[in-house]
Amino acid sequence: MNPQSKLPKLLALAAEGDRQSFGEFYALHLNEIYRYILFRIYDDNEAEDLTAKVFLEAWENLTGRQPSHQIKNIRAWIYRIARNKVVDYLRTRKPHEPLDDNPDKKLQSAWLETELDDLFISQKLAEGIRRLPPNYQEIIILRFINQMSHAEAAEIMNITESHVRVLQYRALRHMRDLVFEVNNE
Amino acid sequence: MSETMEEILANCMERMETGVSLEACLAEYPAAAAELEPLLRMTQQMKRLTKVAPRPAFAQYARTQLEDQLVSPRKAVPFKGLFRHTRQEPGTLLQKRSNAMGMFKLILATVLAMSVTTATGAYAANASNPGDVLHGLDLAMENVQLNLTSDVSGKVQLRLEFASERLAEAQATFANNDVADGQEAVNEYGAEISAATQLIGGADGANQEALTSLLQAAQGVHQDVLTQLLATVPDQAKDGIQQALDASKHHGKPDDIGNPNDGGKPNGSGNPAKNPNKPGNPNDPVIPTGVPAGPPSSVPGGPPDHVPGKP
Repeated sequence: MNPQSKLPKLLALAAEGDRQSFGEFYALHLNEIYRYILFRIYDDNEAEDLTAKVFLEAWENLTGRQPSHQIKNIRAWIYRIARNKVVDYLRTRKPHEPLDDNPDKKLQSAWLETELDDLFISQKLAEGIRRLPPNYQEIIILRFINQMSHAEAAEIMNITESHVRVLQYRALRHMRDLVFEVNNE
Repeated sequence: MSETMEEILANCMERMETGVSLEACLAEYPAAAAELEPLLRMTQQMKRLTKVAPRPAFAQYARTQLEDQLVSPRKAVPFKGLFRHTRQEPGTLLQKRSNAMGMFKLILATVLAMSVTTATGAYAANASNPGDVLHGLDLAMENVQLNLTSDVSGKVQLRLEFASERLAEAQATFANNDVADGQEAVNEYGAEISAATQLIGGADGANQEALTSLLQAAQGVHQDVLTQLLATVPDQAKDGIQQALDASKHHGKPDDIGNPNDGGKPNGSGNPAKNPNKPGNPNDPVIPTGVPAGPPSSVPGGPPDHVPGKP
């Protein structure tokens, strides 16, 4: 059974205050939300904090919601909370906290789950993503790291599917050039 | 009307998601193949990044902490920096010193909530108890975390985190009337506290002060848990817990933390003489997590006769 198909029931129970159901919802989405945040901000400490805040806000949002206000797309809903957190974070990040402050170190623990054979290529790709403009970063993360469909990415980014297609093409071309640069450094 | 490159790329991706090979897609668009191929290969390579995941310790803490908040959502819990106690930079540690008590109240929440997490089985490997098949894996993963942490502050915080886990394991095993494994968990708790104390002894002056505050805050929480355990465990387990409680009350006092100028060698407790491999400074080798500080019969965290000032 597709875990996503359990979501409406889990959230319905969670909205009634069932912690266990919310815990299951959390377990289903933790990794992808963490990845989304990590590859946007490139700081694993902050990514952990923001991830925790996303789920706390999701709970507050869920339990404070009027029953008539149904969540149409649960995955898009949790991503939008994460997206807002990232935007707030990037807006308030202190100027003296450089984005490119030893990214390898900042991602060190996040790479623990990665096979050593993949590490080299993964780091090159991550470095390419890190150098992308924010909207290109986001489309790459949603479509190719978190494996979302065109429609899902469009809903989260609040753009049309045809815009997603254009954006992903441009993002990939830009990234191809950046990875080429990284390889030559 | 001919397809644009954006459309060709999107169509190829959608077809590849259904199982069509990259080569087959390229064959359909020979004029665009040279441009398409590197882009499509890159999208395939990016699937590797789906393996990136948060640390297991974070996943566990976040869930227990979240569930704790859900019980009483209005409770004031300092969510900012919630998980930093597991890995802080030395500089930020001092800045956040005033939050130390708040952070380590969270350790209590974790200790108390971990039994809930364990019951769900969601983090079986990380929440295994002594005697479980997965407990060795749990300890090995903790050891990997320690080895990947280069600074003394991070190591101390990991040790305190692991100490909390050992206490949670003790609670769980005693609750199952498994006295032997409960005692083992209490011994391992003592070893973690002892190791944290000795690491603090090797820290520089400013960090040592901040880390000592963290240790004391953590132990305040741990003592509450040990006192609760003492009231509920069978008689044969009371001695071990009382000794752990005594050692917990002792560790973290200024005379127990090594002088920062003495090369990191602790002053008495932590049983350093019997454990030459215990890390006394950040450059020392890290002992495997969970190995008791002394012989099996020793007091957790060091025998009483090594505790200065103990009658």
